[in-house]
Amino acid sequence: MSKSNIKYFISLVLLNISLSVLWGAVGCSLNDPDRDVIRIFPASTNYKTEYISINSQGGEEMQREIEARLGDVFDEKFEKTDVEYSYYTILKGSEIIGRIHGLNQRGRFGGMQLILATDLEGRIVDFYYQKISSPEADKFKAIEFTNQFLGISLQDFYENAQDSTKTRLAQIKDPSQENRQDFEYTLRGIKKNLIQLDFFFLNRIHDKYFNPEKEN
Amino acid sequence: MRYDRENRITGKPAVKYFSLDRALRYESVSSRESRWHQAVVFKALLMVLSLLSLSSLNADFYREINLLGGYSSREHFIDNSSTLKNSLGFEYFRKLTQQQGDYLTIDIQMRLLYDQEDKDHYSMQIHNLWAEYKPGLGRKLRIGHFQPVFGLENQTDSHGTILQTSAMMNIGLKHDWGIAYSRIAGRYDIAIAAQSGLGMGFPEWDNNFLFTGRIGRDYSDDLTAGISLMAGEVAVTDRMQLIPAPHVLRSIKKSRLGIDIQYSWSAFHYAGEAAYGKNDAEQVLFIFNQIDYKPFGLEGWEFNLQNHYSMLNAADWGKFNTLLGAGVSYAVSETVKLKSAALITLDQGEILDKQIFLQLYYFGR
Repeated sequence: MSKSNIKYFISLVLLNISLSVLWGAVGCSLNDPDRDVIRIFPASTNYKTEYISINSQGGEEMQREIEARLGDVFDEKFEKTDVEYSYYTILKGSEIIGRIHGLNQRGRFGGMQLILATDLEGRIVDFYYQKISSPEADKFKAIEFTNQFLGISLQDFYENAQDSTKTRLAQIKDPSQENRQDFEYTLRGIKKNLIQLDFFFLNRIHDKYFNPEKEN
Repeated sequence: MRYDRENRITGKPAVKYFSLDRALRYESVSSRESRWHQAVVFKALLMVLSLLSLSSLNADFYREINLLGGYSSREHFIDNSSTLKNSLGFEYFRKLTQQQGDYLTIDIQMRLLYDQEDKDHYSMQIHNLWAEYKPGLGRKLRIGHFQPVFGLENQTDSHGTILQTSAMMNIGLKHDWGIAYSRIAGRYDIAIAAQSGLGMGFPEWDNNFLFTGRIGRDYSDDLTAGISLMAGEVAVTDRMQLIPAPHVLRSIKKSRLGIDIQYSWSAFHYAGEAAYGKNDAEQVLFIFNQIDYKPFGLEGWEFNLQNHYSMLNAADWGKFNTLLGAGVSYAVSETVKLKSAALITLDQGEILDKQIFLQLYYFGR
């Protein structure tokens, strides 16, 4: 093989490395969607998978709108706007009975993958960590903690920002002893996950509870 | 005329032979064939380059870059491991959906490889090329080129790793052409597959076949285990690639019973498997263990330790071949990893080779 071919191969590698810098991140999908769907929605007959990114729905403008509702800016590593999130629309026959959707969130010791199952109004019917790196991971993954989020919707998060003493969300306590940061990251990730669901699928029905002056 | 080739594994004459006529013919046309192969692969390279460029426009495309180099005490500077070479690759993964939900998944995963030592230099590998029809929730029917359903290999992702499971040593291949059915039954996963026994390329079929099956169960989020069975007549080929086409050197009748287990605890993950059975008339035993450690205070770092024990004549207990491996990797980003690995190969306690590798691996859009 001639030297020109070797140079050609090297140039291909360099070209693809440079393209790779431009096109990057990988989203959050379920490891075993069929098993999760059967477990969470026993009446389901199938599901539809859709991949949605913030770029495909509104780009920078939508990013700013989500950040305003989240009360925080996006993390450069975990929250690129080209990341495609997997949305699983759960079906019973052709009737939609719920959704499952995951999100990558920075944690104290690495990335978390927070998976929510919601009903048609966006209330949480199941929550679990598909991935969490923490010395107290067992405490976060325990159903005594995760079940406290059942029934909560984006309305609770918006109202909690206005008065954090009376909401259901305020009753949920940090399960860890030394990793409060991971508890706060979990709340942030769940809120962002619900905001994106509200934007992508629910026609922003929870926006009426959002007060821009109260988010911080 | 038959070429009486000794079976490298059993030390006895091989059950299957390949024709010397064919071998001589292959030798006599090898240079011409080599030029033809190079031309074909080079055109394929251009085609894949185009696909990779287009992939920027298509969300279903993933790009892969694998740069690898190392040193071996036996071969000095090396640019490939047992399963990896310097390569560019892509994966096209798409789910098709209708009003009643997802019904078909397609996966195509290919690599173009460069090997300075190989006379053809460029080659093409195919890893996944399958379509999976979903007749119902939790049931899947797959056809194409995919992993046999035996042991850890189709439970883990070893596509871009220097440290491998025991699939190549035990089954003799990582992917094969065929058909498979799987279903979820409560906490159990049941899968069966009927495949060609030929592996990646399209070599001459010599009555080869491969049947595999596995029943797995997740006992908790942290503990899964499975039992596998295998029966087949698996081809041993001279190369693991699609183009230039590999040639069958011999075939081995294989039967196996295997167990596998994975357990996660704190920052540690353990994966292990054992398989016992026969290669032709000889009893064989394979044992594999790997521990992965992701320290909490070192984001992006991962450390691995593994060992393979293979007893190719289990009647003579104590004669083990051993492969010891250690790896360190650092995730520069979600898509880029820098990895290094050290491997020591021993034959009954005597060191045959010591290797060390450095790898840059990219997988993303």
